[in-house]
Amino acid sequence: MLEIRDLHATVNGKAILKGLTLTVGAGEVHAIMGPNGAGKSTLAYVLAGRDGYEVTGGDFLVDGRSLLDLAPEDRAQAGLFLAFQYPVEIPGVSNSTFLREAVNAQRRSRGEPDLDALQFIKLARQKMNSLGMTDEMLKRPVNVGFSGGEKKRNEVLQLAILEPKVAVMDETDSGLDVDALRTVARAVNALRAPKRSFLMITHYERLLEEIVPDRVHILADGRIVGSGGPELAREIERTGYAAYAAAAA
Amino acid sequence: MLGMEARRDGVLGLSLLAPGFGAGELAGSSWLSRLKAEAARDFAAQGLPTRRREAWKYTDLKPLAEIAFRAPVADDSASVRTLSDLLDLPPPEGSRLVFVHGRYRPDLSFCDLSEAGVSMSPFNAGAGDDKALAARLLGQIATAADQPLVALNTAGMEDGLCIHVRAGVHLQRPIEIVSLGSAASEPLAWHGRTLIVLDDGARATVIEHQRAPAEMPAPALVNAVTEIALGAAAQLCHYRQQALGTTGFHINAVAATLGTDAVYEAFTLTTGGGLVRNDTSVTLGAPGAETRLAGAYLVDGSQHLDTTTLIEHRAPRTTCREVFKGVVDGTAEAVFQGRIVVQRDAQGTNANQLSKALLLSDGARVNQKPELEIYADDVKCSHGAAAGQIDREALFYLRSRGVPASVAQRLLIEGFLGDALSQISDAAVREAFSQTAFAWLQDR
Repeated sequence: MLEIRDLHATVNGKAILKGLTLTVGAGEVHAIMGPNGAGKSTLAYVLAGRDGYEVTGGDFLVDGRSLLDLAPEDRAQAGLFLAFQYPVEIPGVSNSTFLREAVNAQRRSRGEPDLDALQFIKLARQKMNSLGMTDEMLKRPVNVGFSGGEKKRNEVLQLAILEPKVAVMDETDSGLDVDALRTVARAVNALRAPKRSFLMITHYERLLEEIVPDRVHILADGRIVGSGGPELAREIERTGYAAYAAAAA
Repeated sequence: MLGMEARRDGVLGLSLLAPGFGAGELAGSSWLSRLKAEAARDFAAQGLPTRRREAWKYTDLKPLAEIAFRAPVADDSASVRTLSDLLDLPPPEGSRLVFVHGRYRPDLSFCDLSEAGVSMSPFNAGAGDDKALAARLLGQIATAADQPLVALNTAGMEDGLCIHVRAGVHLQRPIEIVSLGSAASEPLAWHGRTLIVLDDGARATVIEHQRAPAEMPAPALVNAVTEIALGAAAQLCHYRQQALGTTGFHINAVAATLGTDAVYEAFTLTTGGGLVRNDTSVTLGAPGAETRLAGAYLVDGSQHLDTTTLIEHRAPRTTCREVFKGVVDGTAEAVFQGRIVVQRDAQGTNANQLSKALLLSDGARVNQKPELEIYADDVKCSHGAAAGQIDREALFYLRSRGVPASVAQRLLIEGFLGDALSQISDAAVREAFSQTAFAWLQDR
């Protein structure tokens, strides 16, 4: 499970997160909604440990362990996964090479032996089949020339293979048409598990029709300003964020 | 060989032509003695190039002039045992010709005589059946007149190799040339020379390994020249791996002239050498001729690597494609000078040049100078030169999946070099060269 405690963070000296507190229990799916500039993507990057995102107060824990002082790779090895809003293109590195390095790095951290090429392909195929993907995607360079939908599916594939404890999904719906959104949502739903927590960061309620959350939180000006059940997302869709933004200010 | 009058001020490096230097066994043949004497005069007139010469703007040879180089003595004391590290290569598929300090060593070599239609003749063996060929072509493709280091090579060469593939013959196995330097206690200079001739329709692959110990007690000057003549529809794949010690000066000139529809593919992988200059000039002198020049370099410490290419399109429908990629670390410096000239008659030319360097440290430097000179109007030309650092976004993306920073960096560099390595059309060579490049990355 994921616990965020009074988290404060700055980007380029500017305070973006101003005391964010949130707990996502094991097996739960929570959604964070909020207007542009509320700090949604900052939260995602702060959790994953990106350079330039400085934590000035608070803490966050995965399964009771603080990850704040860890390098990005160590956070991933501790069970944290960030599905990027804009997955990065990496020319010259094939998806399978990348995924195998990632799987094996995580296996090593748990003291497990590496998967060889054959074992890895078997695992990847099995995951792809269960997500309704073809393994053609494995041969291509990471995200290079992928459509918006393919990029997001590739993120979900990584999630499936790496089996994190906590998955933070940053604007997984952005850049997707309705069909692509459904495909990705189905894949995410298939990965819901009793020991896995999801934090869905999104702008619109649309995604939450497909991946129904247990809780919805409204983020405004760096803080959670309201929480509720799935119905809160529909309310926002009708009334907008104005009331919450005003409350935060 | 030279009178004192030639030692005038401003001419660098005349000591490289010390009396007796390069007189060697080759003096026997009259055409060759004439060629060498002429080249000695050419060098004496020019001296080592200074940075005032445009082609040497970024590479300074002045340090060479301050070292009292000697010609290696002709003995076989560099035993197999002292060379064993350098000879640690997978068993040859076909012929492997080994040269030590520029001299052919039959005891270390293996000549595959099972393939018909090819001759491989060391000059000191009289260049065998190919004496007339050597007499006709040597010094004609790489000319001494305006290239002082070619002049120095011609004046100083004491042995060399002529490879001749007869018309229509497709060699099934590659020919390997292994050029070694040993750890000598005094500064040695030698001048390897290779002539490769493919008659009409012939096909061959030549793989060169240029090696010397990583630690050398004294600097060495390796000044090699390769001349290549390809007949109509001939195809040569020419692959080089350069791993000289970091106290070495390694100057290579390759000059190729191509017949109608001939193809010259070359790839150079450089990991070693203190100062390395790779000069390649290709003349596309007949319709449909094509060259693919590519290379990858990985340098660190205070290494200096200069890749200079000149492609001359002189005939219609000629094609060139250049892809060079390099990784520069420490305070190393890389240079890329790529000149493409499209003459008026070369209509329908297709020329494409790309050079990219990845700088891994604040002290790493790269100088790039692409030059297009176009006198024809129906041409397709493009060039791109870029230098940059490791993509931080990509690095973070990989790390966010649990890949340690060092591994992530290596993956990104491998991906970066992959573009160049994929230009090697021979799968086995591509694999071997990739392994060497990736091993360098693992070890750094």
